[in-house]
Amino acid sequence: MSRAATKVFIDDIDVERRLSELNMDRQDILDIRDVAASMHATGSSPLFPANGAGQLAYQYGTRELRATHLKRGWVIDQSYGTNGVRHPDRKIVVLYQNVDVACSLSDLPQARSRKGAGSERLSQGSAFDLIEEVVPSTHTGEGLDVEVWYVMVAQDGAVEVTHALIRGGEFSDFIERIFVHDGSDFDPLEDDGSLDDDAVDFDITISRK
Amino acid sequence: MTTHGPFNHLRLILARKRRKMTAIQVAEAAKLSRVHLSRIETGQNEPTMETIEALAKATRYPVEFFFVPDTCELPAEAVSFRSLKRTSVREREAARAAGEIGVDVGQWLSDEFNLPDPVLPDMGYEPDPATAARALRQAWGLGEKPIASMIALLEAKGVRVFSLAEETLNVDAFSFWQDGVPYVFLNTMKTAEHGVMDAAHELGHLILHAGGNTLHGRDVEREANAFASSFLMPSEDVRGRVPRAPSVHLILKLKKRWRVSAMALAYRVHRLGLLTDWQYRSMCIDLTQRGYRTGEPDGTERDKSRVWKQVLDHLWREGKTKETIARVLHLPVDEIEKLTFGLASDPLRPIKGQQLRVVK
Repeated sequence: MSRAATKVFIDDIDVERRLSELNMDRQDILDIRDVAASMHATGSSPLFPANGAGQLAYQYGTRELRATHLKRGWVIDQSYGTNGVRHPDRKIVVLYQNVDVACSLSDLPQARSRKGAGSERLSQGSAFDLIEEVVPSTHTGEGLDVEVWYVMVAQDGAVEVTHALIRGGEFSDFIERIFVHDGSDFDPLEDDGSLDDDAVDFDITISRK
Repeated sequence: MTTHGPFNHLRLILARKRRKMTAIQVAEAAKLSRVHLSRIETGQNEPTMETIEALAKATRYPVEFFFVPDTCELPAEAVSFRSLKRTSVREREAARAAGEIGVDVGQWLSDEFNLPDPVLPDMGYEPDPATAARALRQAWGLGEKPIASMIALLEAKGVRVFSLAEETLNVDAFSFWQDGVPYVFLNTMKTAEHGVMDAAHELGHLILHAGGNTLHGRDVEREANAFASSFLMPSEDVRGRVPRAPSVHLILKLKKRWRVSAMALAYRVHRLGLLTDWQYRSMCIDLTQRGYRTGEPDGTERDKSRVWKQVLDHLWREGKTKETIARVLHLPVDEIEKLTFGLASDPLRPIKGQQLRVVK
């Protein structure tokens, strides 16, 4: 079977329509991103372990994913040791994911840490009819048969909701990508050029009425 | 000259206080009797245009200023001063008058420009200022990182920030809420590090003491100080970088990270238990001998308003100047300069229509 082209939703109207079809909401996704970003900043303290920022972003991003989606009737999902939410009626699972880049047509997002076997198995549950070749040799063919979507959050505030498959611990195939926000609304965390390079600075833009 | 409406006697009092003048000084400068001036100020006498012009000259305010109908009167308790003992009544009144004029300018700013909306949570319920500082950092997604510019942070969060060119070291800064908008006034006579601490201190007042606080005077100031210290120098960031019993050289190096004075960092390090009482006292003596009590050698760059820079750039492109703002608001030009961190008096700004040409 041939590899399907990635469907990308960029325009606001398309993004909202597609999210609505999935019983998701744009504002929920932005809330998840904001919470994750806030915790990422908290975890940047030198007292945290080196991976503290990413860990906190993941944990609180997942918490916010569940908090927002449980209100909409989704249920907690822990298939194969993953932590996400599952649609009550449809075969859709959503997980939180820290990525290096999001909402870019030139660069595909990659997880900031290698994906485990459980994630790989889960992601391929519905892959048989999409991409035959990605089924790993260890797969029994008795997967959960769910579509796995990821709320992919990049450090610069860009966030997309993406249906992707994992192979060899990495995202290998992208079925659908919904560009929720490019991060331009984010308070940029910039290098101020002073002695220490991690100070928080703010860009303020004002306009004429 | 165009004037609308009746003479506003409250504006005369405002102008007099802003100029730090007594009623006697104004009466003498305007060649009026003290009784006459008193009756004008209390609204019992309607002055003639000739008298108003004399008053305008005496106070160096434009005549139109006295015909502006509304005056925002800040209640005395709305404006807090760091040291009431050191600040004279006249200095306090002049600073408060700057606040009232600042509100006029702030309202004009909001009418003309789209500015960030205020997003300051009310944390008056929080009894511990350090906890409030941590919660605010978390709410704003700042983590434990140093703040590159306190003024930019305040402006990004919807605070209207003005400078106080008070030519006195007795007034540090003050802040208040007016019609749901937070205002902060900072004295630019202080060192840059002092200004950073003042800005954080006033942020503490805005979020801790907005809804009426049962604390008064020194207690309120102590809370705002504790908030500022924790907010600017988050405990984990400090603990992660400052060892026990740090040397004075390390303090002088690290103060630049948080853009605070050496004394403020030493105090914070002591509060966090990294310096014993004795070590802290010794460090204070050492820093004093090096001139860090009266000034800040090797200081950081001074914060400036980014909102005002953009406002003035916008106006410049439209061919407008500080004189335009002054005219629209019926204020003296020097008031605009004083409130805008001196940006309005920047001599390097291009003048619209003026071009370079080759002279042969």
